[in-house]
Amino acid sequence: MSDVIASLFHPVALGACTWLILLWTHARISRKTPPLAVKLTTGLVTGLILLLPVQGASVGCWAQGFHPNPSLPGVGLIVAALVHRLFGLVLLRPADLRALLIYGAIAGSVLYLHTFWSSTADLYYLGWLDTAAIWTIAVLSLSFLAAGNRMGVILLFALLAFTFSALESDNAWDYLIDPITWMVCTSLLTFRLLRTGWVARSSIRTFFSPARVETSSRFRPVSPSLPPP
Amino acid sequence: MPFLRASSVQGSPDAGDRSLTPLKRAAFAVATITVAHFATMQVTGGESSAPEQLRSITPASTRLSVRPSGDAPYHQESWISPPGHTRTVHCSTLSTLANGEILAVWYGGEREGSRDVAVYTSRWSDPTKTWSPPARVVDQASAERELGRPIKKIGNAVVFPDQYGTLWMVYVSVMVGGWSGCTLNVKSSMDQGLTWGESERLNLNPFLNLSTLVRSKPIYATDGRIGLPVYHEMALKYPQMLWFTPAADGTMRNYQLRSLPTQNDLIQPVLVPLGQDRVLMVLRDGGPDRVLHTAYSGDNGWTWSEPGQSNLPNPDAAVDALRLRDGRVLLVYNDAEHGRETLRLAISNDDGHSWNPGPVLEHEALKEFSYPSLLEDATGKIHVTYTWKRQRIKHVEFNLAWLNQATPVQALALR
Repeated sequence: MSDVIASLFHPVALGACTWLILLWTHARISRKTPPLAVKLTTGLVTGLILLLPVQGASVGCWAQGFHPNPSLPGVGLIVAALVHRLFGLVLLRPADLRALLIYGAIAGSVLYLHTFWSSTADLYYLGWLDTAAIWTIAVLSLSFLAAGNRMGVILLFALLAFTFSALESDNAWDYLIDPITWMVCTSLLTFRLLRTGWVARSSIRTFFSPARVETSSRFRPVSPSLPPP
Repeated sequence: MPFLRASSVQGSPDAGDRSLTPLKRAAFAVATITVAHFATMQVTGGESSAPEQLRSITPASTRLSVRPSGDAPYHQESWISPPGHTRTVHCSTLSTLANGEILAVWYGGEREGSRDVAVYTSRWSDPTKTWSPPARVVDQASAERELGRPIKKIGNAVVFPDQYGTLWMVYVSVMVGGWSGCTLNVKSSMDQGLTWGESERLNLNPFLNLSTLVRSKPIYATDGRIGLPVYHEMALKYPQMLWFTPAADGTMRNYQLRSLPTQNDLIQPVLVPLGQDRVLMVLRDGGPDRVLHTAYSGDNGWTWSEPGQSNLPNPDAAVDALRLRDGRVLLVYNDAEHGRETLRLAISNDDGHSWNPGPVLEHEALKEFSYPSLLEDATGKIHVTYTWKRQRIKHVEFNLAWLNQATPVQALALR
């Protein structure tokens, strides 16, 4: 069963990511909600792109070679966004999304950058201590669930994926964070913080400057929700 | 954690979207605990403690059946790779086989890093004093096929046996970029290197599994674990230990990587078991110091001291070392701060704390003699292989009598 899950996990994650990019691109160009035909066509194109041969290997094969271990929070983010665009369902509420972004930025920064400031810490090794890793994920998941946050459900899926060895890696860290998710989370979080700061500064300026009240309406409060389908 | 709660987003467009109901929370919590419990029962368990003891893997068939090498000085040179077999060769390593033969492995091709580079093996038969014709084990195309992903080039490889008689090969492959983008792959052979199984990629690095390289032979723990010295080269350069447990069927179980606390630029660790749980590590210096470094472990290679400088230079080149039967440590190294023109032996009488330069094996201006590999066979003879001018792999065989006879004074005169 583990082998079946492992062989399906990466293509499904990659397919979801590619499909999402195509739908997003369509939305940016047409500036309207894609009709069913477009959704189906982009799905078909996704399959074709992944099978496209490049230098003797398919695009999917190249992607798996470069990024063999897509983490569950990353896949969760993609699937939630794809489901939202395809069916209009909100799987991750703003608080869930915010928690995921903060979690991804912190977990990635700690894991990937700790060797630069500490030559003695060896965090990645801890991910191979199976029992400790399992209960760490479980406690993390329970903490989020206690707060009513769906990030806890994503971590439950990470635990399931780890149990069934869905990734190439046997290291628990790889189920919790990956470099792409880290970069996406950090970038989105930084962007949001900058925009929030910008809006806050603009609000203060407009508060003291009545003449700018009209123009300040373009600085709408940042909605942490996913973009509309 | 207010930022996690749904109440914290009141006023947002999705504020009406409620958080998980208490019933759902409870259901997911029960599911989490159940899965965690199930997973805990399933794990075979990664070892998280130091090995209790080390042992040597000596071929059982040769341990008692051969007579030790005599007292007369013995020294012989031969070639492993035939002339013109490949345009360039590099990075040879040696391993003993169960039948007493020695297996050499190296890579060769048009140039280092080219797509036609392949890993070759050749076996040494002591009775006939000959090396067999090179056998191609893996190349870019076969690695790509076996690993199921694009491979740009392959490189360094090491071979070593385990306690079941399985022979292991660990080699590096690169998808894009240079050697710092390496990943490690493993193959095993159940027939002493005549045929090899499929390659399997090891996941050892959190950042896209990039930059783990190999160069030297492993140490063996009595609990079955094998500790293979590897190293990391991307952004920071430091040594690491890959611990794994081989299974009887030639598969690898429970592998894990431990990074060593060290300053930057020390790579290609070489391990020398010293006895009584102590292990010496000799390190190549890629930094500005250009000095060979040594570190020590008091728990069979699990934890390590901070590396310190030795009294030997190192021109950012690989070395190899082994413990002789008389307790001394033999080292082969490039005796210069720059250039790989001189390949030389050194002896330590105090477990690597100080080194006495010994006989020079090779010296020629503007030529390269590098990447040595050492092995002591069942008869006590010592074998050295190394890259000879990047054209061929050379083999030098000698005994302790020859080593003792070659004085440092004579060797120094050659410099």
